[in-house]
Amino acid sequence: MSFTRAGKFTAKLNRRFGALFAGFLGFLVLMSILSAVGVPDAIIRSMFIGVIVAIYAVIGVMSRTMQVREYFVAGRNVPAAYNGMAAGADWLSSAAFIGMAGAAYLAGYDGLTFVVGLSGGFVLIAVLIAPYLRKSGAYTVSDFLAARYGGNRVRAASMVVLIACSFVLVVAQIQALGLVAGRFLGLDYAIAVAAGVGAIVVCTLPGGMRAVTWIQVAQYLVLLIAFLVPAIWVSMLLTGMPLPHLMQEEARGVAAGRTQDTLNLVLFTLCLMTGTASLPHLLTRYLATTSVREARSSVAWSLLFVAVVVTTAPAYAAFLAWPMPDLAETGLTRIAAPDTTGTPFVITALVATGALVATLAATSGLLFTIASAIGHDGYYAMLDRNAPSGRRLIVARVLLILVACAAAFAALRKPADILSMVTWAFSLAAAGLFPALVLGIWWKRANAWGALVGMIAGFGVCLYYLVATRYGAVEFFDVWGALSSATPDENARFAELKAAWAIAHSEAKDAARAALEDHARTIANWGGVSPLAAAAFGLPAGFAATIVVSLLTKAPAGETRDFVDALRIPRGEPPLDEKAS
Amino acid sequence: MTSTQRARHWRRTTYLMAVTMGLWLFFSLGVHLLAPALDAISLSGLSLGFSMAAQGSIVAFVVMVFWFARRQNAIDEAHDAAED
Repeated sequence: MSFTRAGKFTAKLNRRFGALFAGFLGFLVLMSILSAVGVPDAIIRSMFIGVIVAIYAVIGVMSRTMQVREYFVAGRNVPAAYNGMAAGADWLSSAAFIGMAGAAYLAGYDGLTFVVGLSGGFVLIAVLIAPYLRKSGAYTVSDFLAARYGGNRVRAASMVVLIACSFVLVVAQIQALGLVAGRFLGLDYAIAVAAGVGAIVVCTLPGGMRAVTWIQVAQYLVLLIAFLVPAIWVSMLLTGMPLPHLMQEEARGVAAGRTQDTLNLVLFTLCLMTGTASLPHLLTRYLATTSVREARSSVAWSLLFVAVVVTTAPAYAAFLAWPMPDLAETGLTRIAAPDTTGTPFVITALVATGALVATLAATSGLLFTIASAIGHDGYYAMLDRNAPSGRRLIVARVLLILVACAAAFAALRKPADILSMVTWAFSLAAAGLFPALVLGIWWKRANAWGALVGMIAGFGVCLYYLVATRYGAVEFFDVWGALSSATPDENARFAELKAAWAIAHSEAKDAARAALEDHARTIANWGGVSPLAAAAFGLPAGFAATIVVSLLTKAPAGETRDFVDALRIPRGEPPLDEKAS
Repeated sequence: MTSTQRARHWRRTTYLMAVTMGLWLFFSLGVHLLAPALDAISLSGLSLGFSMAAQGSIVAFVVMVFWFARRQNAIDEAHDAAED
């Protein structure tokens, strides 16, 4: 894209999104006036929802496209800062806001691992991965891995990891969406889920990644206002100063101190960071930028936009100083927080809107990533390379609907608590993909067998640790007891409970089993590492396997070395670029 | 691009990567290890360990990534590897 055209495009974006931002602020003022004048809460609420839906629908329609490149990577013409905003909106929902104010300060110091963990990953993305991914010309992460390592086995393995992690994450997001919409709009959970997912599909179907991108930018602006305004309000209320970032002392009072030892804090942070750098829906965001250089700065912008919101957490923590019901259950502190007497309804509506918008942003990004993985990597790359672009788009769109339905159904069953699912997704992504991605770019000797075994090993070890310590804790401890961090007392208790279970009859047996399992879960571990940090074992396994197997098998062909060389230089044609279709 | 040019470019790129990763390690994991010690130092009434973990590290990351992007771009241009 020529310089002046890019400049004009950016100017147009500035005008339009500037108008949106100002418009939303104006809307807020209007709502405050209406509320003060006595307009019922129900009407104010509907107007908030109405505005959000309108923004979506308009952008969705404006982004419609019949071009493959626009559908999959937004035409590669998104300016760095705007791309950063889109990524920010997407990211802020991935446990960031759910966990932050809630887990972060309720659990004291440990919750801060969330904050560092979720932001530190961006450094990894910028330095180790994004620029190279962008240069490759790939449309998806699996595309990239298939090109780098050659062959469809690697592509298939990475697709499994990608889809597994993204699906777990999107189900968590939809659950959050259902809870927030349900609570705020007074809707039944199932209806809230259906409505939310339905709205996303309808708005992203015509435009694919192009629609997702611009809707996410709009969502970021709304999010920014939605989180900053209440935070500033609280800050003024409690400290007389409009700077929520300085409310440390108030927040500190709530923090209960450490409950996790340093080892687990460090490992968990590491898992979150490497997970961030491996989650496909975030990585593909940087494929939509105009150039490699822009991809790098886009990561910087993403982090900045995330930081602006995340650092307002102290204000929300201070909210917790007020008496509040059912906080811990849903972890949706940000929704529960303003539900105290004296809080203007507009503030509550704003926070709920922010939460809603964040989950919608993440859900749309994730659904799209899963659908495009199946459509592009599954159908186009593996089944029918000659498919005309029209058919590719139809397949992609049908898949989006199917995946959305599957995810909504899963969310309706509420498989597990949101926070756990989110951390599983991060760990599995890190263990499964990080070694293959990093070694693929930084080590020419890494080959297809290495990557394949590495992905299986990393993902497998991580999955085993996650599942076995939770659902098979007793058996796990039987096998790995020697490596556990259990004290002699805990060991003895295990033996006791086990014996008790052996001799119990009928109902007492079930109770005995439950007691045994509960106790086993507290001691089923390797070296005291919490299952939340499962990637602590998955990552080394993945790296080791990739390195060892690569060295034991044939070195990659000259073409691969050329491919890696091309990746490392920003200048030049992307090796995988499609002719614009 | 000749292979020596490539090698030089990649060497500088790798060096920058190592420096950035070192900084990253410090601000992400190092603070956890140092936090109890930092807690002892007070910065205008706020214990440093807590503040660092909450906000200092993020600010450091933001600055780090912007700085990295500029430095890497400079390296690319110096070695004729940058895009037009």
